[in-house]
Amino acid sequence: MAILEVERLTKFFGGFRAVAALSFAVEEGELLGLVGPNGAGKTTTFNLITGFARPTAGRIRFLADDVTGHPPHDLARRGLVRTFQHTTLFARLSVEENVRIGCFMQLPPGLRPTLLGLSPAERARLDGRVDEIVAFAGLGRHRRSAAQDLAYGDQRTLEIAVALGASPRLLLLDEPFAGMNHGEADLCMALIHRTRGRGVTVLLVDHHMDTLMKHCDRLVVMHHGEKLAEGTPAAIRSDPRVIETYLGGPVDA
Amino acid sequence: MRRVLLLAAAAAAPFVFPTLAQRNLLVLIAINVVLVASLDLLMGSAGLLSLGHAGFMGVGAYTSALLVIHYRAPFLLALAAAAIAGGAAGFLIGYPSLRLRHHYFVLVTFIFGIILTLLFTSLVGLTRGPMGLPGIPFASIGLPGAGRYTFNTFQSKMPYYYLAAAIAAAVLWLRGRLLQGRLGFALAAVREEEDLGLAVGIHTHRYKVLVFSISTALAGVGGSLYAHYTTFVSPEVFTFVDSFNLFVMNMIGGAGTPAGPVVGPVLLTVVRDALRGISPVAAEIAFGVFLIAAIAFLPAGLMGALARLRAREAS
Repeated sequence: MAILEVERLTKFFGGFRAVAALSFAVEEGELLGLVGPNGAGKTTTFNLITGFARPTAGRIRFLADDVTGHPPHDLARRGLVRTFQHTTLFARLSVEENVRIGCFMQLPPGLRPTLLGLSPAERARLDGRVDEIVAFAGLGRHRRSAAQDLAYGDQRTLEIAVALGASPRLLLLDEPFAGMNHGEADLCMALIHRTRGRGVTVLLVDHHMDTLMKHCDRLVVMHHGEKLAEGTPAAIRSDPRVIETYLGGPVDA
Repeated sequence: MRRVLLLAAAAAAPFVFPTLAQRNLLVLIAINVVLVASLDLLMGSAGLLSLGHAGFMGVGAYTSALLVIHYRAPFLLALAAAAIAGGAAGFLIGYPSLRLRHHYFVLVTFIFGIILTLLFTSLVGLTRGPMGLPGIPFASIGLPGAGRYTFNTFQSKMPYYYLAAAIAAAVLWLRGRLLQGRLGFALAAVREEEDLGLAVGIHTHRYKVLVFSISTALAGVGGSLYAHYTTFVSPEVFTFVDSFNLFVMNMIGGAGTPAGPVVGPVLLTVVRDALRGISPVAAEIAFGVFLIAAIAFLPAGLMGALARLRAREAS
């Protein structure tokens, strides 16, 4: 079953067409890679899906509901949670506090918990959840460190941990490997695979074709805002349009 | 422990400083603690700079004064009405303007602060405009069931100080609790990285409007306390300069630190008064120099600098 369906999604910035009638679907449980060179419209697509930008035309359906133009916090409530391309954390807060805010939607509703604080039982339940996620992400050693003091790889890991606090059904990761060395990228990929083990569907955006080929179930290749190809890594590798415009074609400067 | 010490110090203060002038300063400090603590909910907790806070203080002051003058409302009722009026004004202004971020929002608070001052000046039928409202009754709190008899004991400085200090303590307590719940989580997200807050499902605008309304309601409480102490209000005491003074007290005390809203008003009220004692003409200039020095050397405020010093010693 498709968890996310994108139909003829289009975005104009003035006269510039950043995304053009893009359609694809993410199946429940899969790891889908959205790939393309810089400027192909990946990040715009990402922002449209996650509610950080409004599409000019087209539809977005999440879990069969039309969520086109819904604000990010509403999408997060439905289970669609994103990370950001540039490291985006609560920088001065500790690892623990970052994850705790990520768990915001698990806080009990109502006037008293909103204005006067959590009861000891509610606090304990929250702490338990934070502990679990921090351990899951392998950040236990750093739990009291400020996010801004972590090594780069750990910061990106923490971003995923914060997102996990929001209990995503679909996790969208915007270039999680950007700027990582090989060791860090492998660790991050391992975390993404573990995350799938929790029943989370993952949509991964990156411009490193090799990395995505190796790990994704399927790929959607973008070029100039349009979908160039869609399929398994093997199918993409042998797709003549992909080879021509992206992999083996002449480099246009 | 620290809280007990603070309360003990506040309780002992009028005995340590027994002159009328000193007790007058104590009352003003207590009122300023209410105002700065309410402003700190925005500046320290949510990272929202507001330069119109005195305007909301004015809304509370006029509401409270007019209710008591015209309708002989009991003080506590007028105080509650001041909070409601301040909060309502904050809600109406905050709801649209909190869609803006960063300096755009600061600019809007600045403009609305000025508009509120203009309203106090021009609504002559209600506020008597620039002439001000004289003869505001002293605060009096009735004894339940005692009929017309009231404890009309807030005329002199000592009891009024205790009244204001008790309310300041309550506001500080409330501020601490507000930061422990959902609101506190949401505000930390707004302050540190609002987009990430949105991404994890926090309806940040709703919580910003909520905290802005609470903050302006408490500013209204401060305004009411001020009105029934000085027994005279005029637009001149709720101007941009007064907003700026609250802003500075919050900065110098240390925005977002637990004790900042106490330290700031104490420090600035005392320094300013001491400078005036030396030379009223030079006082404003010297005060300006003091502010520049404080911001240059203590950008996180006094309590922020102390916290960093302690953290350095610990590591």
